[in-house]
Amino acid sequence: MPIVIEQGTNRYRGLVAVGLAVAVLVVLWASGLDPFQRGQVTRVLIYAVAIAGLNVATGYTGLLSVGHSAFFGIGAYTTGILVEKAGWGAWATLPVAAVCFAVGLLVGLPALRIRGLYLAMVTLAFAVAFPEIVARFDGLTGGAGGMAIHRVNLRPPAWSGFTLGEKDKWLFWVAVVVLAIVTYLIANLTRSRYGLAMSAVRQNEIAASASGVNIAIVKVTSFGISGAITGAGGGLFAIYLGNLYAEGSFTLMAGISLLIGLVIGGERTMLGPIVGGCVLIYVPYYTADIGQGQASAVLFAVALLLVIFLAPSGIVGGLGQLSRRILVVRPGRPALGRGSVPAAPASSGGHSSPNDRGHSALDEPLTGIERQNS
Amino acid sequence: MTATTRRLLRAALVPVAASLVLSACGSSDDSNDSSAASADGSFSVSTDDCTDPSVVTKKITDTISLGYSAPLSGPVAGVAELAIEGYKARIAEANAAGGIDGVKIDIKYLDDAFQPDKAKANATQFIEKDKVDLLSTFGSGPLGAMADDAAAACVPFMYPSSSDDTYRKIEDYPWIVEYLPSASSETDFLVKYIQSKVTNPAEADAFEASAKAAGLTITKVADDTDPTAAATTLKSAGVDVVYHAGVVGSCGAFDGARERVDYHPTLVVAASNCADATEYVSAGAGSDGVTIAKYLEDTSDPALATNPNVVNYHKVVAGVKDPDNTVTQSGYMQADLLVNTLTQAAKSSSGLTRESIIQAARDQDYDSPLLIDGITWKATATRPAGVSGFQAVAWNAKEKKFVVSGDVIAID
Repeated sequence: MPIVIEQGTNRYRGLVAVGLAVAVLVVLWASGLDPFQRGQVTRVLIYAVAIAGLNVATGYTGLLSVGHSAFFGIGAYTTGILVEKAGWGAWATLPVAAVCFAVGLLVGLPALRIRGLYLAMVTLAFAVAFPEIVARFDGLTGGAGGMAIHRVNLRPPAWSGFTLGEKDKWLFWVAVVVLAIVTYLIANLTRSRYGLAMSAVRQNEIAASASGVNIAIVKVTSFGISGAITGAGGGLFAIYLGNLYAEGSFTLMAGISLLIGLVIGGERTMLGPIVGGCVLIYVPYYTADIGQGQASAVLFAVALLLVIFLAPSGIVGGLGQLSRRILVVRPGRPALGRGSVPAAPASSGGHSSPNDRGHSALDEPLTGIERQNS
Repeated sequence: MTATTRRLLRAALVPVAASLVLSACGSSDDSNDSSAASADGSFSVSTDDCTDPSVVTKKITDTISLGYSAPLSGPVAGVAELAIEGYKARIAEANAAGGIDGVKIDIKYLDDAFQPDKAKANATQFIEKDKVDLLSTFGSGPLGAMADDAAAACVPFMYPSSSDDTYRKIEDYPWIVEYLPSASSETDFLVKYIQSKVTNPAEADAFEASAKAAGLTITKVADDTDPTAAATTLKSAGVDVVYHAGVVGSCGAFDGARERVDYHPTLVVAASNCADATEYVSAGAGSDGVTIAKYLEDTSDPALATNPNVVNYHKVVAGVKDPDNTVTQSGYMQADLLVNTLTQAAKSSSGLTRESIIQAARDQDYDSPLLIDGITWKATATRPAGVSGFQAVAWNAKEKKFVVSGDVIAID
């Protein structure tokens, strides 16, 4: 029998504290790595932020998108343009990823009428068009030739205590903070009433609508939030790279890579984006040691296929299933129902949401709404 | 403005998605370093801001290590493979001949899949982990991603395959010496060439004035991702002069498409990247007369079969897949420029150091064996490195070879 820990109990808080302590130790360890390895970890963190954004739309709401490379690019170019043309501090540009929220709302509009592969086609068009749009506005973006962001303009702020030569170290910490904030926000979002609505929309739109969920608002705002988070990742990417080249970094292939990261890492999990980021960065790196060039690409593909075969719900999803044989974390029982309402084990694997308990699509939002109101 | 002039001004540009040539459109500058021409005109660069100034002036005595970030996989892997084969062949030749004053050259390749962020990671590995003496790469995107790290560490970036004008600014990027001719220098040449085809001097002057004022007036832009669509678009627009900014693989395809849609403009000029005979053979009659700015010898030309430079080239690249491909030749020449630069640096008073290498790279007037007669590789403290001129060659579809269609035109 697995150990069962209920949320809200002291044992649960102890478990969370241990998890946080491990996370802090891992971050401290990573900060002390040599510049190359720390740079790799920084890339992982940046991609994790971008994938976390995709997780909101595709994972939690079920809106399949292969065009998030465009949000990534918009965030990157927003940072680049504000730094180069408007003289902003690089770090101050990150909140302006809200631009991507507005774009996300627009891109999400087609989702009101279409879904599945058809929606994917729309986002695909968005991804394909992005480099062309960048090329079109070359006065602002540098066009096909790219945009160089001056190294001196990426100087860490004086209050940070970091010098220009320590820019990469500073970026590492900024990426850690941004990812922590994003993860915290998404965790709360998915546990909220809105998160339950996202889950309902993902599983059965008709049932969700019948339950009072405003499908249109949920879909459009999910895309907006998703775009904003991925855009923030793009801003970090611009600071990391110091040079924006749409044809190289923000192509359709980049969008597919983000999707691969999400699927391999684990949809609808908090740790999935981080694991997905690790897969995107480290699998090609280590397979390159085995076989250079095209052989490396084939090895990468084989590795991905293996993961999909062995863990269809992603690495974190798969590990979560295994861990539930030992430890089950389940939601705390509402006061009114304590002792009378049976609570099914929640999914773990990094984190859980009440959306993943195996209830029917109709049951979940109703249950959630009742709990919120109780 | 006369009708003829107007016709000439109706030049069209066919951009190529993912083209290496397009990346020549540089944007902004940078302000990392301080460099200057000394009183005697020689190039000098401050090493004060380098991460470790002592390494920059330390004599290289064991092995000259160069980190090459290349698209070994991804969309341009096939093209890069050709260039790398030529590059490797020339380096192997230099090492077999004893290296640079006994110091061998060691090239380490890392795959960047033509993705800038991977290239940047590679740069970090090369600089921080492998402690390379030199860097190189393939493409403007990867170069842009690696440039800052190379500048901060003062690692000479030797002849990357890029033509981005941004990195040609010596005062901003003293440690980068690009290989490919800048788009502006090619455009200068093409303007002069188009001028030479105009018989009315007044019209020629008008064209020159227009070209100087605003570059070529572009009446229609067509993406050649679909060559037939591009040819049809330009035909329907009535374009008389076409500039095809193609890359290897797209050049002949566009000309073949022109033939299929029966589109025969007055003049078709193409980027030097298009100087690949095999593509035009496939394109058939449609490619007849296409004019290209060229600076490398056509090593497949039977007339050059006994040329000592060409003979030696074929001997050195005997094992490579496509020795007469322009990309292979370019790779060979990049390595040849590197060898010449290192040799020159080794002869300097300070011997072979990173500093002397970049100084040598900024002091070149070298007749590389594959360059067309009359063209040299030039670089000074104030002139960005590059070829001294171009020669117009036109494809003769009947004889299946390029034929000279004008003298070498200097671009300085």
